[in-house]
Amino acid sequence: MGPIGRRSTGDLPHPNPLPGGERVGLPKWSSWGIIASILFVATASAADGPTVVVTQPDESKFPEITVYFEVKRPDGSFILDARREEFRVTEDGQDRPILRFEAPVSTEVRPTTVVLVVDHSGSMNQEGKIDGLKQAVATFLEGLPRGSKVAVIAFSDEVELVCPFTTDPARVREAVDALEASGGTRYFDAVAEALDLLGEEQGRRAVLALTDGMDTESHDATLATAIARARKLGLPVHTLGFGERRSINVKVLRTLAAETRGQHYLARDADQLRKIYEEIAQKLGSSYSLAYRTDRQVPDGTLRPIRIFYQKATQAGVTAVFIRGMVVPAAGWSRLYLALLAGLGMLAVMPGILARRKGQPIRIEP
Amino acid sequence: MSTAPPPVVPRVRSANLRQAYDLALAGAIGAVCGLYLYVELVHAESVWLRDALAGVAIGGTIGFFLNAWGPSGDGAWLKLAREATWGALAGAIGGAVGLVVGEFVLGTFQGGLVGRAVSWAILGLGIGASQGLATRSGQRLRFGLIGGSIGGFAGGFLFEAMRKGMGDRYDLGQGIGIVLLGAGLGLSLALVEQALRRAWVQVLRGRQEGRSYLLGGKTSALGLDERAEVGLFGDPTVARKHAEIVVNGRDYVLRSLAPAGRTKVNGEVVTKDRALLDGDRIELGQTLLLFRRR
Repeated sequence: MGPIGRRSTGDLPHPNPLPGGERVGLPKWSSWGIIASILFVATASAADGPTVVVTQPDESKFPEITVYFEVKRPDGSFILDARREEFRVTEDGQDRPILRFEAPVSTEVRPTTVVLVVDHSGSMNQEGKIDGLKQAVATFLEGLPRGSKVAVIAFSDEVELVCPFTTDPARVREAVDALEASGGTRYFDAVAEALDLLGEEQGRRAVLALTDGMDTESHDATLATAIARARKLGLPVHTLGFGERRSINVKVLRTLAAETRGQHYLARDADQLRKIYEEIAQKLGSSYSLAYRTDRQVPDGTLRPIRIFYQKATQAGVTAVFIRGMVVPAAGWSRLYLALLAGLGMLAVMPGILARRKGQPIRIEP
Repeated sequence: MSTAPPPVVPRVRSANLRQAYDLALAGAIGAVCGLYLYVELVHAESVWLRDALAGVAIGGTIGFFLNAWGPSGDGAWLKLAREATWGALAGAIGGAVGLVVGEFVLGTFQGGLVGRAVSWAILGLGIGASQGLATRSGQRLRFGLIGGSIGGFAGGFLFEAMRKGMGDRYDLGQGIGIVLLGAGLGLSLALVEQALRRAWVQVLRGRQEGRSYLLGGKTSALGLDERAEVGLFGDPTVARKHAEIVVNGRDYVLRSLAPAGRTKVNGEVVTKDRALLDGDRIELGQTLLLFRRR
């Protein structure tokens, strides 16, 4: 019943990083119910300490597991100078030694991989929005940690990769500056393409998807398929609504962000947009990461809850990784196989021996 | 043939039990061998390649043992080689597909007891289906699907339960789990076949005494031929193509192909065709068969 319960919550076993959102103590499945309820008590009393928010676990280098997280003060600002000794990581309740630790200020190169999804539909012509976007992207690129990789997908009637992944901000700016506003809005198709593009990358990754209207012309993707794809890849989609509130489908953007552990922003004008892009760039550069070697080194098809404890915080940051392995490659137990085969072999010959003891089988007919 | 009817029913029952028992063991032995091949030989990095190869190993050996069991009991070596080869090939493909799909499903469940049980059921389903397809029999396909999924479900469930109970030890739990998968597959193939089969013949007298043969296709050949659906060996009075049983609408008709007088039904010589009724005794040379239908 575990998985059914877990799925019915419609929630990945990750903390909810939404600013106003309540952080989920642990994955909501019954076997963790008790621990979760204890944590909930802790959550209530932990309102004034700093909090650890896990943004992304990365198990691609299994048995080494990397977890990206942020440390926030109660007022929402980031703590950037926490030290390695102040953290502790557990997997499945077992303490694991930290192999590598990176804090935002301790290293210069903290590359992040970002796909900017930008709207250049016809409506972006109004109120100089397209120019505002171009300026905001320029600011964003300046704020982004050096060495970060950025790609740009632009959409209107077509979804187009206008700038493949590059670490050169000038090339990104060039591609965005060349955009002209015209045509419809294929928002979900563009988001889906961004996710596919990002799925092949490694490390800390995010999609930043901006629109000034409602999805009108997506052929392939829908809100549901975009969410499903992002969850499957474990990627956050940060959504940005730009312009008049009534012309934007805020609910859809908010859902897409919330369901993918991303954040949703709304910018009325170019000035706000620039600030938001700046904030996101800073946030992407405010992330810690730590790597540890898992206790169970065989891929065994299990979900493993991970908790990150920060000395000054009363509440741990929680996430979980699932390691594929339906049939476990646990080698080196030949004796067990021999015993199993010997047992089965005995069972196979037993009826024959029993029959012989009883004597010849009875003839049916004379 | 004027003697009183012999006690057929208890013998049939014990023969059925024996068939189920043997097939369950054959499946279990195949599964253990397959798992052993996998854990010792496969060292692929990619989880999907590893899964595909594990499926090939497990499905292939289960298919081999399940199909080798019957002919090896008959002493029909050519038939064994042919059927076991096809069984192993089909099992390998079914196992690979089943394991890769199962892995995908386990991912959507994110592990857990039910996830493991369902994913293993899919592996069983793949191997079971392959056993039906290998013999090109729709009925066996259905039996295989039911048997494989039940055995796989039970095996996967037990494996995950033992893994949790024993503090993340995989060897014993997985070993016993795979035994359950293979045994469940073999057992269910036999039991479900016995429960759902429409028409079959059982050898009452002859070298293969006690064995049952499913009349699954439109035409089933009886004779010494290695290709015959009902291969009868060790009786020199049985011809290569001795007779065949043809389904005609709802009727089963025995058509004698052997020299006159060598085919009898209930003691009466059959020269050409004869409609069969449940309980009819078919004599081919010295070999006596019981025709059963539902």
